[in-house]
Amino acid sequence: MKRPGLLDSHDPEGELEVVCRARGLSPDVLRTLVHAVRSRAGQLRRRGLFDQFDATLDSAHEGEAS
Amino acid sequence: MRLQTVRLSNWKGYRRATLPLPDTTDDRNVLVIRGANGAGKTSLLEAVVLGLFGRQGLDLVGRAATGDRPELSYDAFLERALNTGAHGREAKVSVELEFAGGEHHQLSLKRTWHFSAGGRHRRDDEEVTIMMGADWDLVALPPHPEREEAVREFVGRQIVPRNLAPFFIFDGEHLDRLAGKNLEAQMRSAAELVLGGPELRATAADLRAYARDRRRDARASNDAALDRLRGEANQLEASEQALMQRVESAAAAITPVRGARDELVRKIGALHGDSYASFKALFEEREAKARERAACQDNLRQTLSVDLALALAGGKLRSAAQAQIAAEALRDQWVAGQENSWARFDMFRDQLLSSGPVETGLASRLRTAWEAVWNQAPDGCATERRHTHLGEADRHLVAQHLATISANSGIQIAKLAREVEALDKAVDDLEDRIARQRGLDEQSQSLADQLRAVQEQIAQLEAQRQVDVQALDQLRLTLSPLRQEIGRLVGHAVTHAPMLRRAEEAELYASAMEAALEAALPRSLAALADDVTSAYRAMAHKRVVENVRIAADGSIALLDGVGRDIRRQDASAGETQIFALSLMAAVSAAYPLFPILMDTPFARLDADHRRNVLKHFSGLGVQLILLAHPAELSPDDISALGDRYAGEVQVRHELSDGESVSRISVASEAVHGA
Repeated sequence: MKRPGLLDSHDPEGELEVVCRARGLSPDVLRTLVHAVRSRAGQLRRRGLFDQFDATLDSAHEGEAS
Repeated sequence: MRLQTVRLSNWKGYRRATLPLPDTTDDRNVLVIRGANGAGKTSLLEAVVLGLFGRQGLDLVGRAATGDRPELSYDAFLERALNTGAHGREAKVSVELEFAGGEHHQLSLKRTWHFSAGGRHRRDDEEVTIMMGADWDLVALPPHPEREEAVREFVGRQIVPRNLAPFFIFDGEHLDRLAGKNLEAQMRSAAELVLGGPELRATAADLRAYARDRRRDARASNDAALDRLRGEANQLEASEQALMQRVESAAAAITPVRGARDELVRKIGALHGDSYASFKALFEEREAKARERAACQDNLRQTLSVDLALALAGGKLRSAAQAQIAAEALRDQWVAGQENSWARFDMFRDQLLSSGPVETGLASRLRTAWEAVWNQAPDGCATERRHTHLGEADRHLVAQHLATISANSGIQIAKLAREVEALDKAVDDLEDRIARQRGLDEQSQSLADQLRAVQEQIAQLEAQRQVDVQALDQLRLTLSPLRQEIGRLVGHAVTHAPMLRRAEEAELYASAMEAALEAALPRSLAALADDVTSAYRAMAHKRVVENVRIAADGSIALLDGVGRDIRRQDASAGETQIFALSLMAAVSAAYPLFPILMDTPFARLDADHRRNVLKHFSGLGVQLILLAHPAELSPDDISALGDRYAGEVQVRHELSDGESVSRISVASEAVHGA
């Protein structure tokens, strides 16, 4: 059976959560970034991917600011 | 993801073949492709490998002789793969693989190789077509040479990463090589794969590309250019400041001097009072007289210029000329009268002589008497004509003009001359009076001198100020576009500040993904080691290995009951194969996304081991495709698969029109217990 990958684990003591916490980053934003890439898998030009990165990172920034 | 159909064209023994694989599920997941030696089983496996990976898959193909020049080996392998029936003309070979399941539900990858009529592989003409999704959407691929890398990335993300392909597609020889080779890198890859590493690493790479892109855009605001412009502007602004100070200083210097001038003017005005007004009136009168004199002189000059010569000649000469012209006119009249008179004399003489004889000499005396009575020159008649060029009318006009000059011009000229003389005197008188008034006012003269000096000082200051103002204008003409450009760049930088922040954050997230992967890797390797241990213990009946340990660097140790690494000791070929199969099974269990294709890997295994292997692999749930000759899988082996067995496809070798061809037929589908 396939074991859950890093992204699938929401254990607060999981590596992803720990690393993000230590660096002041949001695991949710990290997952959103990976999902943006995943949603464009197979689209070799990845049109719009960078715009989606912009939006994700901006929303994270606004979240921090508010 | 399940392999559903393989289509081949001119590939090795297959002129044109479609291999429709029986449907499989998680529970009914084992297929057998059966054929005798040389029937085309391995050709099918090679088609799958090269179809997926192109030249990158060459070292997975046991029959390809890879060396220092893999591109030559690739060419050579493909040229050998060209179906013999396609020789002698331009031809193409294609492999098309259709998969079901996965994220996009269905996916088709077709790779086509082109060959010259001489059978040479045309390296740059390789084509790949990928379609996927419910509507078989065509995936856009870049042109050669970027295409191959794009396909490799696509296959790695959507089907199976190239570095992990050996865990899923293998034959007996490959198993031997895998068991004996250094596996560290592949184990780390497998452990990362289980963690979702490729996706995280791909995202990290995309984030870094994104950060570069955004920084490049932000750098378009060009800090260096901004610094340079700011430096230039600073210098110009310093010069502008200096010039502005000079202009202001000049203005400040002029103001008191102008005040002094105004004071001098006021003093002069106050000093003169009525006399100053009188002085002014005298000066104005003198100017008026001077203007009047000039006008009079002009009039005199004009009058004189008209009949100047005649006027200068004087009255006597004009009178003599008038008399001569009159005498000549009289003479002309007299001469004209004489002609008539002599005509009448001739008539008289002829009448007298016709009346009878007359004494000799009478005609001559009559002539003399006629001349004396009738043809005497009148008084005042000119003895000769001096103005022979004048006709009667001209003579009359000249005489009349001379009479006019004699009568009027002299008087007019004299009058004008007298007026000029009088005006000269008036101007002289006025100048005397002005001079006298000046002389009377020494204080006024001193003030006037001071005023003149002050005026000169003001003029100098104004001139210098004007030079500075012009320099300032010129400098501002240079500075203005600089300031505009700086404003534009600063605006750009402000606009792009969020872009730089996002770039920074993108890199932070990319680093975090990689750090999390590194942190999780030992755990993943340990779990993989447990899977390998479990698989080994399930398949190896000797159970010598108690534990498989995979270190953080990916190195593997097969530990026996007392902790010895049996990989360092001599192991049987069968045991080595079991170990390699355990790795395959562990990776497949951890990453059950791609079919397992085994090409007769059981030659070194006894029946017990073979059934253990089949049982273990079929229990993984992934599609298991076994390529085997009839002797490798006995009916008992098939029976042992139980409900896992989904069906069988047979490939056979035939001779057709003297050519060796491979043919495919679906022999049975899930004929359980057969």
